[in-house]
Amino acid sequence: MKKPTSTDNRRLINRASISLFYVGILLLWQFVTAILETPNYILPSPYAIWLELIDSFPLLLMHARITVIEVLAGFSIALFLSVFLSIAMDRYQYIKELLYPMMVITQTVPIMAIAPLMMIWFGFGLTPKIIVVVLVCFFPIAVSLTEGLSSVDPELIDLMKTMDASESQIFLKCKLPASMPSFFAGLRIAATYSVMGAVVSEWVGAQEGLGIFMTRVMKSYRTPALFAVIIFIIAITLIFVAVIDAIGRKAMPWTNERRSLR
Amino acid sequence: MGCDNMASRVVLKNVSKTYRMDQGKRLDTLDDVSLALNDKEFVSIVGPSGCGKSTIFRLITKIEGSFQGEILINDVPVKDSRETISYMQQKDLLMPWRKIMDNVILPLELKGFSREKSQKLASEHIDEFGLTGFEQAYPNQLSGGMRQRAALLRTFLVDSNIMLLDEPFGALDAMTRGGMQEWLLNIWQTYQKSVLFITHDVDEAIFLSDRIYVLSERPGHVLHELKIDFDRPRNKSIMHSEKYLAYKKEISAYC
Ligand SMILES: Nc1ncnc2c1ncn2[C@@H]1O[C@H](COP(=O)(O)OP(=O)(O)OP(=O)(O)O)[C@@H](O)[C@H]1O
Ligand SMILES: [Mg+2]
Repeated sequence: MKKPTSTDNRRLINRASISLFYVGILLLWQFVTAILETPNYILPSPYAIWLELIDSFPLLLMHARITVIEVLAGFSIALFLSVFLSIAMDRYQYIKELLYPMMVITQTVPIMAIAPLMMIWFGFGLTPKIIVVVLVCFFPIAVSLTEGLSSVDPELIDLMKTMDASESQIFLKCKLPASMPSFFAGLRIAATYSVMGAVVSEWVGAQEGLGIFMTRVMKSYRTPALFAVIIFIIAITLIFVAVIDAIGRKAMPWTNERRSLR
Repeated sequence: MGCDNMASRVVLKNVSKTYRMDQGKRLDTLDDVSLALNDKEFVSIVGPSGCGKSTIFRLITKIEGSFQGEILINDVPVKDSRETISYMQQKDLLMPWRKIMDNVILPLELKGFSREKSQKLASEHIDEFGLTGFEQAYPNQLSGGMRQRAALLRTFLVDSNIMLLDEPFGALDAMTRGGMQEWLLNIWQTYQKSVLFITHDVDEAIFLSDRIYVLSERPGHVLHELKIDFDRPRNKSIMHSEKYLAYKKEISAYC
């Protein structure tokens, strides 16, 4: 570690004050629910939520496992499809013109409309949920990668051509690396959509999963448990995004180097 | 010009270029331009912004394919030329995702050299291009002058006798620029390259060149050609001589 500088110190103070802010909100929440004696089914106190979280942890974990499987399966399939199609769309203008409108349309159809349809077609198993996740993830990944691939400065491609670069060299050494920042931004968005997509499609009907657990506790007014599920969903999403960010930093070391080194 | 006895590296004969824009609009950019770059010569092209200077380079490097007139590279029509010309664009166009070392070896890599071999070749020149200690830095960690030198090293490693440099120092401040000019002359003299150099800085052109072409406003054509008769190696003291001022006056008459 370097010696702490004044900017490092300021950052530390910033961090501390931000944490304090959120702790303050939680304390206020606890305080208000205690004073007003709000019933648990309307607004549980943070402490009540915490107890519920510990109490239902094994159950939550079991449901989360299913949701995570759906998310990972759907995300992977979407990743594979969109990488494949984006490369094809970048290579052949015709394929782009053919598929782009369809991509936009699939994105405008609300998940709440697709999810029941998928259930009718594919039953209550994992398949319809995975398909919904694929549908919500595909578009952000494909669009960000397509845009990334075409974001390269055309003059750089001209330069490579004057150096006798082949099409595949231009793609591998220039377009692909240039597309990475945009691609990872898309993956990040897709990661948050994917958890949402899985949960919503479970609402429609499922045997296991955070979504179906959510509808069950809602029906019995177990509001603390509802909050516990929300915390789980947030945690899963944040972990997923953090993993993608970590991979992104590894894949794009040039984006996190400090600008100053002169 | 009386240089018939010298081998011509690049020749443009009566070259005109019209860009076809969207909606069928046409933009006359070059109008009947004739110029030549002889072996081991340093020739500058000066002219107002937008007069088609960069376009000349785009034609010579085949980035732009259609034109009227004739262009010869080493006496071969540009269309049939197999020569890979060293070309440095107006922007440094370094790849932000590559470290400086990996940026400069790009032309070697594209030729199919292994990374190790390319790096070994490049490292022989790192010092003279003033990049020592920055091989493993990313372009965004470098100053403007260093980025420019890195782009020049990349251009240099294309290893052609012909170098086309499009305002390589355009983005630099006057002080850095002065140092870079002397340094460039050094490189040019050491490696015996034929350089075609674009600038809109008249002082820069006089200090560097054997000959200068002055282009008109768009559509660009050659208004004037002059030979700069200072001994080499040159240093900045020539800029205070009578002769220098006379050259400057001569060019200013056309700008
Ligand atoms: N690919 C292109 N398609 C259409 N028009 C172009 C193209 N490239 C350049 N032009 C136009 O041709 C003209 C000359 O451009 P060029 O880049 O050659 O000028 P320049 O002399 O290099 O100018 P500067 O000193 O500003 O770099 C400009 O009006 C420009 O808009
Ligand atoms: Mg230009």
